[in-house]
Amino acid sequence: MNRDPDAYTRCMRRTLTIARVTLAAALLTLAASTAFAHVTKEVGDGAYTVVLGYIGAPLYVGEIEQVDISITDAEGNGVDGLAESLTAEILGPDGATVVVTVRAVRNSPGKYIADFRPTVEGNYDVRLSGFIGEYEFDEVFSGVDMLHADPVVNDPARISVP
Amino acid sequence: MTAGTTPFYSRVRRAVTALLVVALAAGPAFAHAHLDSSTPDAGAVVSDSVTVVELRFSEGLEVAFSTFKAYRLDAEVDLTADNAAARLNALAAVVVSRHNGTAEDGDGKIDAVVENLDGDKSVVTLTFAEPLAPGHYVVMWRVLSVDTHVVDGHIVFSVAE
Repeated sequence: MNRDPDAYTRCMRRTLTIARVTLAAALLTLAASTAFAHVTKEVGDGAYTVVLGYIGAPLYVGEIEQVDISITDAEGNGVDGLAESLTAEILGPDGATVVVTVRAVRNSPGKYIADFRPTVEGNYDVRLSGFIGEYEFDEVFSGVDMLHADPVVNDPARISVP
Repeated sequence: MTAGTTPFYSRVRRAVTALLVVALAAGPAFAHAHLDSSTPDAGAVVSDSVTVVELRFSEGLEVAFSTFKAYRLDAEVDLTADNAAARLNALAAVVVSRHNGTAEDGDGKIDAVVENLDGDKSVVTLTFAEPLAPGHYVVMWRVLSVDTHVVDGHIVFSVAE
């Protein structure tokens, strides 16, 4: 079979370029999906750092939303295995509260997640309490601060069509 | 094949490998070789002397390619308190995060002989040279299942005075 080596090489280079662009786009998408605003608090005078945020902003009534929790030690290393030592409570509008399960994110050191489903529009804070190492803590993370949005949870009717 | 295509194919291979790594990392988390039970039980407070910890997994493990470590937790925890389990787990979590699956053992590691029980690859024993003194302990593992998946975990138990 006759084949122009230059044309073949150009074609394969083009394919390689497309593959690179696709890989870069995939990595950027992954990074952007978790890059929303977060709030940081220290536990044990800086022995540990707790960072909370909402994943998937903007949040809407009726959707399953997620609290993103990251816990690191003073060296910045993730602390695993804390799910059973943490309690997450969603503080909704008009005093409504619910305690939700905290679970570890597999293969992500120090990362935890908690699901909840808001049923009305308004602001939702998160109270996280429990133990990290030898320290006990109890902190409230403002939803408005975590999301830089007010209200935190919106009515999907505003974006519904028809 | 011309000599000029060799580096090209090498780059293609690297790109495909990178894509596969990303795809696998983003894949779903299936459960493999989880702990079915143990002696002592997770969270147990035992009064008898403990020289052997037995871990029974849901499937066979390759001990040669897995790590098992035991540490004493240096803390006083009131076991009658409602939050005792949460406190002990938090203490253990820090030790596990530092030492599980790493070459860095740090201080406090208890030497143990690790082996499968009578050729049963799903059961692993840690045998200590001396009975464990009263206190709190964490046993951690990072294991290679026979299906080649890596799974880690830990249990905490206490030895009463």
